[in-house]
Amino acid sequence: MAAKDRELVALADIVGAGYVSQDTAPYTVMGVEPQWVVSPASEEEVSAILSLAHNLQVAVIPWGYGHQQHIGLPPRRGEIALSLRRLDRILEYEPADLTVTVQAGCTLGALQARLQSARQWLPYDPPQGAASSLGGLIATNISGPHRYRYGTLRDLVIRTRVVQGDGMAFTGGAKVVKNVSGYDLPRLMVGSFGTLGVITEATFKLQPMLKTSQTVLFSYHSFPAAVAQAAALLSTALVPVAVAVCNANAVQALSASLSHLDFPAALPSGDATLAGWLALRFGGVAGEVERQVRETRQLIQSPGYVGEITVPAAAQAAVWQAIADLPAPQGKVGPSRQVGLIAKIALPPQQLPEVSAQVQRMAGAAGLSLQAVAHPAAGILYLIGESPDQAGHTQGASLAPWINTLRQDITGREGTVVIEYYTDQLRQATDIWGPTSSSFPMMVALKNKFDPHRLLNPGRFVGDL
Amino acid sequence: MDISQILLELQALLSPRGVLHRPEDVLLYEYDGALDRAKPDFVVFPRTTADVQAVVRLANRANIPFMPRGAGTGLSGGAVPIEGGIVIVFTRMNRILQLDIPNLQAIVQPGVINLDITQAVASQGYYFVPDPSSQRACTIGGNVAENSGGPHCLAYGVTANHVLGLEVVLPDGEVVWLGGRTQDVPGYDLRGLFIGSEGTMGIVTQVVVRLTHVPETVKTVLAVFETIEDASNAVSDIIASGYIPAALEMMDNLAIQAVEASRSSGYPTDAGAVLLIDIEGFAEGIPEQLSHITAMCQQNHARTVHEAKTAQEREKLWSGRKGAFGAMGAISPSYYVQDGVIPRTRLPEVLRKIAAVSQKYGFRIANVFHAGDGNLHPLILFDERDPAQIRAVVKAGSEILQACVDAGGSISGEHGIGVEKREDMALLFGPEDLIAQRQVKEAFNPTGLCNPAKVLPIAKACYEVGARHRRLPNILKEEHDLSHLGDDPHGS
Ligand SMILES: Cc1cc2nc3c(=O)[nH]c(=O)nc-3n(C[C@H](O)[C@H](O)[C@H](O)COP(=O)(O)OP(=O)(O)OC[C@H]3O[C@@H](n4cnc5c(N)ncnc54)[C@H](O)[C@@H]3O)c2cc1C
Repeated sequence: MAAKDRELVALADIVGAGYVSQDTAPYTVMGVEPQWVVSPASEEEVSAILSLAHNLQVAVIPWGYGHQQHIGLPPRRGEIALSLRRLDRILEYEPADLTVTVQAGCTLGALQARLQSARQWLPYDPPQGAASSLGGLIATNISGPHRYRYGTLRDLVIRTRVVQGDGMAFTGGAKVVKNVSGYDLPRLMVGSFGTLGVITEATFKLQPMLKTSQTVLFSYHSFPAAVAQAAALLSTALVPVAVAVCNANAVQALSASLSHLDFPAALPSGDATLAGWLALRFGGVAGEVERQVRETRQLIQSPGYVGEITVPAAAQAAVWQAIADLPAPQGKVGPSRQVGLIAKIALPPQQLPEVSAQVQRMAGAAGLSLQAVAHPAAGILYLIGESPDQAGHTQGASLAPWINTLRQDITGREGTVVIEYYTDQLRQATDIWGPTSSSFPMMVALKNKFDPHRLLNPGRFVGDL
Repeated sequence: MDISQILLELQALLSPRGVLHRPEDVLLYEYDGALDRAKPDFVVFPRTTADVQAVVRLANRANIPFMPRGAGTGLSGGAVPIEGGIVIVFTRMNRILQLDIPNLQAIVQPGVINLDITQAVASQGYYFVPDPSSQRACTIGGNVAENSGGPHCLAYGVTANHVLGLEVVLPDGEVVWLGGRTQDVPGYDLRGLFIGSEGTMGIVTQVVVRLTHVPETVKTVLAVFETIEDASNAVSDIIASGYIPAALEMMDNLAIQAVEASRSSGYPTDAGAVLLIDIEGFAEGIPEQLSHITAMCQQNHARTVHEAKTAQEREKLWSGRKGAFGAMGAISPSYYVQDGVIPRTRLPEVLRKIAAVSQKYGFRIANVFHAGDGNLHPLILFDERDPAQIRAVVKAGSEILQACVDAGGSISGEHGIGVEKREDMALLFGPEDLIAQRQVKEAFNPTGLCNPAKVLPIAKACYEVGARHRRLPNILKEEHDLSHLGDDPHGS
């Protein structure tokens, strides 16, 4: 036993012998297997673990439920897997204030169930959200189609408790919906991929549940036509709560996965001419929902429009979750999906129609079969490839030049491409995060303050942060 | 580098007309809308990002402080040059560079007045949502620095929710973009971190703002209550009911008296409190919202719930609210405004504590505030000519902030910390929390030259509280008349 290993035995003193384990295989991140899994029950324990790791110079990989561990580069090292699942309590919930404070290991599903009893919700629908820990969701800042109306976690998290590299715990923000006291540390933490500190607690702004809502799927002959329609609709006075556009492959996967619901007969599964869906959800009081659906129908007269499906009220949640789950490797979308690639493109929104057409052409030329889902107002386009794909590719090395060409094009449009899920072959031949931005030196400066020894998720984030 | 050398270099960079340095010329830049004042050595008027960069580099070489300033309407001393140095003013960088309606974006320079953005796109049916009551005067640069809010931020969010990207001259003179025209840019959210940093992390030289479609229908309702308690309970009930209006503002009796004395706006002067409520959206959705909100008010014993019948009546009601701070001049020589935020369910309790502070110190306190998000604005009325009152009013202010923190709230909702509430940060944050904030500040501003002595507590106050001075008449002037900030600073 190396000296460090002997000292790491102290982990048991912190959390109790029952909560330290060397059964680490399930905590392997892209081939990097930790030596210890520790499950603290309090922030004080998290703090003690990080300060021990800091003193011994061993690296720590924070863990929730692992649903987002595919995003980012493999950690350079990671001796300790820090599981936050025991920090799973809802600490404070006063419905009339529309705020809730939870520990980081609480799942989004558990939180929503509790909020539902007061007819409220956290208006947030990320891929694989229900079973994910809120700490992990904050760290990765992934989001779903309801970002159209409610924004991302950056708009919903109002306070965080974080333990930084040396074990110091601190609060940023406050438990009120409006606050400018000091620097906005919660915004810094959202999307920091566990590289500045371990999130232990967060307070969220909530919304009352929608009084009523209606979801309509409009079908188009082509995906770019559906994207163009979305762009045109979104500069009108309409205010949908959720918007997404799916291409033919995505529609097929969705149709299959939704076939158990009440309305499958109406779904155009297998009809190759129905190549794109524009999914819109309107919400609010009944009058405004009806009016907006009516108005949308009048506006939907663009070339390529085929027909519409009104989703029965009881099926709405399932439809939107399935759409949200498309860019998740374990998303239960389609019968036996095996994902080999997830790429996230972000663009100035008005470029999306052109880029959708371009991507479709490029994929066609390369014989790639991709599922695509767009969040049009945010300018986000996810591309999902199965492995092996329909053309029999394993989507490895052959994909890299394709991605690199795509990235060149997108960069020229002020956009970014992040490869959120990849094979080893692909990683060796392309850049997962893409180039760093002009402000990168400030990111390094922050990293050096919060985790000077670079022990938190080392090497996973953009530019080796 | 001595001071005359710095002057020569500044003049060479910006032309002599772009630099003020005589004591009588820089007088106007000694204060903002808050209590503190301090004399700048230079006031400069850059025209381009490159000008700003050159000034910042010069300040670094000369090792003197520098700080950005918008219209000087800030209410926490953020733009006051506490340690002297160069004040950078953006009156010559006040152009809207690009309107991109299909993309619902605009790119503007930092000196653009908040309301000018809305006016530029109003005819096409769009607006810029954040609407501070000072919006006819304050700049977008100041809004970004303070993360400003306004009455209509209840439903649609504050500045941070409506700014996508920033071009910034960092404290070392590097020019970078934080965020941009795309969302989810890989890396830390430096845009989000910068917004609300009060000019201590660098100087904004371009802003990408989001534009929003104007709602089809807006209804304004005035609910009149006998007591502030009833009005507070109505606020809690409205929020809890899930019918969240676009704006939900409260004024107590003293505030109503001041407003009506300065310009009659249609508020009954014998009311204990009023709620001013905007309901927006599609015409078909209004009746249901209106009837629920009316019911919530009536359930809490509203004397009347009145819907404005004409656009003029709406505007009159809102002009009373938007002019409320200035209206204090009609009933008091000076006012001192606090900006604490509390959970909305604690409104009645904290308003009672504010009344107790008023009793204890013998100051009248008017309340005009963003009730819907729990953002209080107690206006403590005092007389600036009496130094003892200045000291007492600062203490009374801190006591109110303590009450907000005790109720689980925060010390500032939109006006920022600046110099004024710097030491009050310790009411809300513990030592570790402040260390974390200091880490952020040091990462961006390691020399401390960029807007020194702001936001975070400093060990020893390097100025006298007694020297703080209220400049109410000038602030009001500034709000209406910006000619002194015109292109030729020597001309006025
Ligand atoms: C009558 C009145 C009513 C008000 N109502 C509201 C309200 O409803 N809501 C609200 O939120 N505020 C309100 N305020 C406060 C104030 O108007 C806002 O804080 C406003 O955003 C300040 O803008 P400014 O241009 O005047 O900035 P200044 O006061 O000049 O500066 C404020 C801060 O911004 C920094 N700054 C300025 N320009 C830049 C730049 N280009 N880059 C980086 N930092 C910069 C300064 O250094 C300073 O720290 C009110 C003020 C008054 C006097």
